[in-house]
Order: sequence, then C-alpha cells, then structure tokens
Amino acid sequence: MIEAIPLRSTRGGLQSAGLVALLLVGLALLPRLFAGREASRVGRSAPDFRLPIVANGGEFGGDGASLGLSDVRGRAALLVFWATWCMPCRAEAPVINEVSRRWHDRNVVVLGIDTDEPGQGDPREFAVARGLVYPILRDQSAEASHAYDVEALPTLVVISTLGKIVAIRTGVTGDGEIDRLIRQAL
Amino acid sequence: MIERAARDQAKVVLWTLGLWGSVQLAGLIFARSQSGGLAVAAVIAELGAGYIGIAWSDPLAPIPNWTAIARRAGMGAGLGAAMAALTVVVGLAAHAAIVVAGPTAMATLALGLGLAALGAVRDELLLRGMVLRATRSLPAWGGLLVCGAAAAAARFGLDGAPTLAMAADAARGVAFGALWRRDRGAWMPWGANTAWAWAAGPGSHGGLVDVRFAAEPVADAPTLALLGTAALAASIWALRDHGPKK
Repeated sequence: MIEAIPLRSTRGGLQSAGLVALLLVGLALLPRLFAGREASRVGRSAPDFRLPIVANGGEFGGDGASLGLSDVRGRAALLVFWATWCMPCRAEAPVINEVSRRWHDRNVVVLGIDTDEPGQGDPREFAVARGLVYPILRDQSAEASHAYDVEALPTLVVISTLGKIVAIRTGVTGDGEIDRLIRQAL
Repeated sequence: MIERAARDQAKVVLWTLGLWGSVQLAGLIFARSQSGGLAVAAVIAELGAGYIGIAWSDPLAPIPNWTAIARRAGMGAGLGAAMAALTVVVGLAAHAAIVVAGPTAMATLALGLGLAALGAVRDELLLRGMVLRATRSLPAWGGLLVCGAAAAAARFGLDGAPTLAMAADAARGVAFGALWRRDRGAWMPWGANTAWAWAAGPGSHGGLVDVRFAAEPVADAPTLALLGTAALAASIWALRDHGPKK
C-alpha cells in the first residue's frame, strides 16, 4: 500500500514541501472554481415574489391570500422549494417543520414554496397529512423558482433580516446546519 | 532514487488535483441531484485512485475475503459511530446540547446513509489515500498532519465555513488518516467516515433523535477537544505498531 520513501536532501525536502503546499492550495481553491451559480448569489438582495397561500396561511390573511417576500421584510426567512413528488423533499419536511416550530417566535419565518405543476400533486393535502405548520405557497407559474434559479429540489434559501441571501443549499439539509444558517441570518 | 521519488510525488499531487477538480465539476453538472453527483464523484475517485495504485486493501497482503472486509469496515463504523455518540454526550455534559425525542424518520436515515457512504468513498480515496501516497516521503506523522490540513483545505471558503468547523474537519482528517495507516487500506476509514457522517448528520438531527446544539454542532470547544484527543489517540494507535516499513 503506502510505503515510505526517504527523501533526505535539502533540495528534495523543499521540492516535497512545495508540492504539499500546491496540493493544499489546490484542494482549497478548486471547489470555489466550480461553486456554480448559487455561490455568486450569496450576499445579493433576495428577489421579491408574490404567490398564493395554499396551507397554513393564518398569520398572513388565511389560505387563498397572497404573500410576498416584501411582506416579511425585517424577519429572517427560510424559503424551501419543494414538490409533492420529490422523495428527498418528503424526507426533509419533518426537519423543516421542527425548524419552523423552533424559530417561529424568534423573528424567523419559514415558507414552503411548492413547485408542483398543475395536476402533479396537492400540496395542501400533503401539508395536512404530514402535520406541517409553516405556510405553503404555490409557485405554479414558476415565478419564484425562476427568480431564485432553482435547478434542484429541495432547495433551501436563507434570507437575512436585511433581505440579503445568506446561503443556498440543495439536497436534504440537516437540522443543525439549518440552525447555523438561521443564526447567521439574524 | 530521490529524483524518482520527487517525480512520483509530483505525479500523485497533480493527479489528485485533477481528480478533485473532476469531482467538483461532476457536482456542478449533477447539481440537480445530490445523490447523482456523489455517485459520479465516488466512481471518479475509485477509478482515478485505482489508476495511481491506491487500493482498498494492501496489495502486498493476501486478498481479504468478505468476512475480513466486513470486519474492517465494521470496526471503522463502530469507531465513527462512537465518536459521534461521544460528541453528543460531551455536548450534553457541557450543557451545550439538548436531546429532543421525536419519531424515527426512516426515509431520512436511509437516504442519509446512502449519501454518507458515497461521500466517504470520495473523501477517503482523494483526501486520505491520495494524500498519504503523495506524502510518503515524509515521516508517518507528517503524512497524518497533511491529511488534517487537506481536510480543512477542502472545506476552506465554502459558503462561510467557520474556522472552528475547519478545525473539526482537520481533527477528523488526522483520525481517518490514522485509520488508513492502521488498516493499510480504505475499508476501516471508509466505515468510520460513513458512520460519523450518518450519525452526526441525519441520525442525530431528526432521524433517530433530535440533538440541538447551542452553538455550531461539531465545532464548539468541548467537541473540538474531543476530536483532537481522538485524532491523537488514533495516530498513536496507528503508528505504534504499524508504522511504515523503512
């Protein structure tokens, strides 16, 4: 497997150290080179949108009312883009629900943004069946999905109290990581 | 001899960086599917590391049977899970965490295990196997330190990764590197990495139990002290009897 090869000369030692340094710098920089569009959006103002509420809209005028990001300015926001057919989204839903319960009274709003196309699934039914407590908005026209350039589900966008994007995560995000990002947003 | 060693080291370093860049590119191309991106990254790591001679088992030893492989991976998994459990215990003892009971989320656990296993293949082959190969001209402890530095470097600058989290990654890098040395292959560190990622991730964040940390989950002072101690203990264990043959 891995056997030691002695490299005793000073020149050889310097060469070896230089190569190790090159390795470490490369390991650190390459992920940034391929970071994708999400990274470039972090720190920018969060685009506004306005969507109809299909479940848990009590705090915002009830189901059927419309809700925009501008309506929750001054609060940290967690946008969760999801769909009823998306298995990772289903797995993540209980985690998001707990996060919503935990942070609700601490100037944080969690908004589930359903991206199902017409006829694909009923987000309201899903929310009721799973006991979700956070507002579910319907993005049938993909207005919000396009504004945030959502390419994968679930996608989680954390927005600060100042309306800046703090982080974007795709795939299932752990509870601890979400808590950390929310603290950053407050 | 020296020139040959230097050429070999340069080749391994460049190959490692090429593979690391390739797995990042795969992540970008498969951005729509985290599991797809991780699967492709694991395949790239396996093929690329295999090409340069990084093996899951010592090629100079007899070919292990599946029982031996399961024992090595299982031992690593036990160590990784124990480490995650100790992290929670230390957090609870230091009043830095609380445990909230909740329903077991089987889907989260199953998905999390698959992702942890794929991520561990990528990280163990590229960040430990290749790094140890690139540093075999150094003393064994030097290679382990570079493993730690490589793990921290891989996290550097990623979406506001905090310094303490990088320190925690470095400690784990040293510990998993030590398991590579002890195992003379990838099975034990792969098991440990998978178990750690699974237990510290979905397992303790709503899958089995919901552990809520007051601060950064794996980067508060008691946890860092624990990880540092574990890295030191693993290094001593790995190097005491199983140091590199001169």
